[in-house]
Amino acid sequence: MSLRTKLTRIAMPLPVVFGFLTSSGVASAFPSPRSPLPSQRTFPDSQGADPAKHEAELREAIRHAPANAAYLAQLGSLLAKQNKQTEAVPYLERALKLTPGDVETRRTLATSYWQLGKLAEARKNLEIVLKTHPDDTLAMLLLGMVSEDLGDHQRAAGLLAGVIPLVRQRPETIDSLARAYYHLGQTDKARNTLQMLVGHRAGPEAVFRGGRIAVEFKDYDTAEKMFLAIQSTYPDAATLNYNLALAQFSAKRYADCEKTLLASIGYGHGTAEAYALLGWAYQKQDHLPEMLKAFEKAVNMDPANQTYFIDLGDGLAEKKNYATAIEVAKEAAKRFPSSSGVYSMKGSVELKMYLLTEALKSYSKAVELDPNNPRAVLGLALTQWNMDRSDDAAKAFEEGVRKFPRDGFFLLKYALFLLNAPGERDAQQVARIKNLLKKSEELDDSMAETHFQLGNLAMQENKYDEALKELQIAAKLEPDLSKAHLALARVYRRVGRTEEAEKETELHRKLKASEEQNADVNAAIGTRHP
Amino acid sequence: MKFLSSHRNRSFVVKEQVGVCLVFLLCLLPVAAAINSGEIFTDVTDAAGITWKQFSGESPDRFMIEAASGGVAFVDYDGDGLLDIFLVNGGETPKGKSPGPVRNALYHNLGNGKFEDVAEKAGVDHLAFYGMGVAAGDYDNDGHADLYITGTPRAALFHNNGDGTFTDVTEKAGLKNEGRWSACAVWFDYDRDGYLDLLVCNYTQIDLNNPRVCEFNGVRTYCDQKVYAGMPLTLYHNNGNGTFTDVSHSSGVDKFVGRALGAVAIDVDDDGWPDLFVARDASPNLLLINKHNGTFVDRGDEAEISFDENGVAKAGMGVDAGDVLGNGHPGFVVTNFNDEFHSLFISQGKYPFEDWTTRSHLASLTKSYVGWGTHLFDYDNDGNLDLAIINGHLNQVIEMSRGDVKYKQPLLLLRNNGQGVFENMVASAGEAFQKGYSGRGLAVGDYDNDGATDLIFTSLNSRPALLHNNLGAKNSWIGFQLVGTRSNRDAIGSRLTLRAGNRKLVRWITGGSSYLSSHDKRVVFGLGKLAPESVDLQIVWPNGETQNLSGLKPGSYHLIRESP
Repeated sequence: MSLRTKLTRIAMPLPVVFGFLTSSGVASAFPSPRSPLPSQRTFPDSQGADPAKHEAELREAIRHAPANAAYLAQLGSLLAKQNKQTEAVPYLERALKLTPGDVETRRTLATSYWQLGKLAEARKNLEIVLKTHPDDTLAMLLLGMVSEDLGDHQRAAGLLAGVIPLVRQRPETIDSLARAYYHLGQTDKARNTLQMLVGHRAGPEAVFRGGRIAVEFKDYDTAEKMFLAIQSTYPDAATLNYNLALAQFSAKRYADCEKTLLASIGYGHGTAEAYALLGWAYQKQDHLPEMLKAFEKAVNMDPANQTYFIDLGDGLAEKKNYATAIEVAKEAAKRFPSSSGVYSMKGSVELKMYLLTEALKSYSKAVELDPNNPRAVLGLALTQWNMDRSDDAAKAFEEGVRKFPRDGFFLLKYALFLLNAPGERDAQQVARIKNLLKKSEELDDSMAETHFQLGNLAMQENKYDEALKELQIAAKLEPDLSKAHLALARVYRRVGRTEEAEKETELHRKLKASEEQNADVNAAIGTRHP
Repeated sequence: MKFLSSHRNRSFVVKEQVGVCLVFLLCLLPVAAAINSGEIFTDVTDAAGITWKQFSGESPDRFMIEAASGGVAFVDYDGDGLLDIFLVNGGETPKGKSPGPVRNALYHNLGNGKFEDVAEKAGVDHLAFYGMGVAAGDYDNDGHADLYITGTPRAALFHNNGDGTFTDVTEKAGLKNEGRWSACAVWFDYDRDGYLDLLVCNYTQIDLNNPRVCEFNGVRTYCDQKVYAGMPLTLYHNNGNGTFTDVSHSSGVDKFVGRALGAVAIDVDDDGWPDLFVARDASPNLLLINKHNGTFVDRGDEAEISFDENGVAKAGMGVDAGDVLGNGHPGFVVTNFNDEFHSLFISQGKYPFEDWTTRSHLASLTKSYVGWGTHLFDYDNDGNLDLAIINGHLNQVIEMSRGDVKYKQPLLLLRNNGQGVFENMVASAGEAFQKGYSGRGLAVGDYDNDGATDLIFTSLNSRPALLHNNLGAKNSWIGFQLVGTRSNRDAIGSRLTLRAGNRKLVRWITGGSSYLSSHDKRVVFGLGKLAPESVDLQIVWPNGETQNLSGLKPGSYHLIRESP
């Protein structure tokens, strides 16, 4: 996945590693939720003895007394402790059939289910515990974690906030609570929760993971703070500095990102990935020669990695340095003739240069190489659209939406294609467009264009409240999106809010003037495209 | 209030000419053979004897001006009742030289479908600058149409001496527009003092010593218009004594800086004062509303005509205004670039205007075209305003990447069904509509006075095309020439409302419109197949006075003088 993809598409979920803390024979006041809870009913040879022997003894005992709940519970617990969850569950279930009121066994079962990812079963058992023992803090803790994993963030936050002393003990539980708060939009609470990790006895790794969570939720300032807090203690400086730089880049603090990476490289941590990110930081600051050098370094360090070529081509094209971009694209195609990603990038550059015939060839090749490459499929549709091969474009879009139903960007582009069609739209077509836009918004509500188009459609239907809502979001997401301000001005004017209309009009004019100043001075006429 | 009207059938009276009608009819006969009545329009350019060719100065430097010129006017310069044709030539560029002199043409209508170039004799054949467009108007109310020619690096005013000749009075009049590249010019009486004032659209800054280099796939071509900085509008007030005052600043129009190409003067808000719709190229269109005090305010934002719904300032080149919907309010057509669709804005008498571009089918009909000259006119005299648009691309290498967009593009004849929905009449319009052109200016006028509006358009480095309308005269019609006495003589700014039975038709005598071109100032009302015995007409003159006439007989032009 290219850096661009990492940065712009759905964030990769962080691997959640739960430590497996074991108690030392005594029921722990706050065991790790994913560690087996100690049982008070132990077989004579309990913890501390040889677990294998213990297991064998318990199996033998059960063979003779298959309905002995205590033996069943003990064996289940022992197996769970050894992380043999699949084997543990049946014994625990059998024990609970015989003694349904055994809270500890039920808690252990819930933990096992949770470890196995069977969240619904975990939840069910914890609910049973809490029904009879509403103050069972361990059950609350665990159910909070399970709820978060199930996406019931409200419940998760409520439960975990009720057992803060327990939450505080474990970085995993802190992470869970922070996630829940982020999901609920309670950023301050999320930050305060992550702050618990700083100085935690779990060490800098926990802080690092916390920083990654902040990145996941686009709270880059918090991420940066957390990474900086462990800059001198985290054992893997290269990784830490890379993540720090990435957070700074994502926060659009490109100069800081550059500084971090250069320092890291100066300390001998110059990885290919770091040089590529440095290249992007330079690109964002319009330092194109430095960008080229940085990417060159990345390529030389890792010549088998095509993403650096892709990133470089994309970065140059974005800055309208088409001459170099196309050279990069051609070189990449030579080196990686079977890469759909490379051909997609080449097609993208050609499309931007309005070399539509070439773009069509490149994207077609990209799709041929990987029909499931969303960028290739979308690029092909866009090129066909530009060539006014509307039927082909419509087919490609339809196919793409079927293949990538959760790709919000794809849905948006298809909606734009339909919106731009010159013919009159009937009610069904309008509904289709709205559906695409709403779905796109659900999947990725960070795209200002989606909100803008929804706002525009609402305005056309005289639904001004809805229009304002969507357009205001668009303007917030992308304050420099001039057309959002134009549309806002129109809506305000229509509803008689003249002062606000004037403000938006003024802002629109300023932004348009700036756009004109930044127009490509060498653009040939007729090469603008949808 | 008295009025005078012509009582002669099938003739237009300026001077007393007995027997003109009969002579006219007889003279039509030899030409009839050239007209193919099976098609709506017939290209009669050859038959008319029009041989002039436009010269653009096309050069490897690819100056934008090489792709922009082509003004044409239907104007009765000699007052004989027959429309003549004036064609503005372009000019040379540093590397685009002409083998012979670059000259304008003034084709005198001989009355038999033939024309004769008398430009040299008339003294309007030569310009000291690169020519763009023409605006015909009787600025001194002496009864003779004068000519204002735009271009770069200046413009020129030719006063019609009334004897078949013109005199360059630019300096004396103060209309030089020095140092600018002007495109459209609009005669209109903004202060209603009875004298025509002049709005000049200025396009961009141009430096023929400093060509910009833009390439497409390695081939030098014209640069995107946004590469060139826009210019302010110029407004000249007619002092009534043959001189003008530049009131650009005091009127406020000089603050509207952009790439203006086309404009039309019409009373947008029905308050009796002329307003302006200015089409601008990749700059927001303007709706300049007359504040009655010598100043204008831009209501383009309120009207929502400045930008499209995606915030794009389209490439507005040509513009026209007329009652497209039959609701008594002007609609506005603006020609744009390919993929932008030529726009149609409908006024319902309030802001914002409605964007009917898609609803009218203009979007699907014009998607692949770069439009220039355009005019709303009733070609079939059914009472609905139809639309003609001449198209043509600028980028000669566009076909390298687009299969759907051609360099040479067609002339469009779009029929209005009366509900503001257009249909392409290509199948029956005529051979001329089956070809591709590097079209630019377009003017409409009834050059043979048969009540069917004809049209002429220009093309880069080619001959113009004069198209005779074979259809309109088959339906009932009535025409009017208004002559102002207290108002400006051309009656620009008048609003005419005709009632025939329970049908009401509204037309205006506008200033400007189309692209770089000037039209027949008479108004033809199509009355459809059911020929009423008579019609009633209400005229709101430019000075605000209203005049009502009744019992007017269709089938001819009526001369109506404003009461003194």
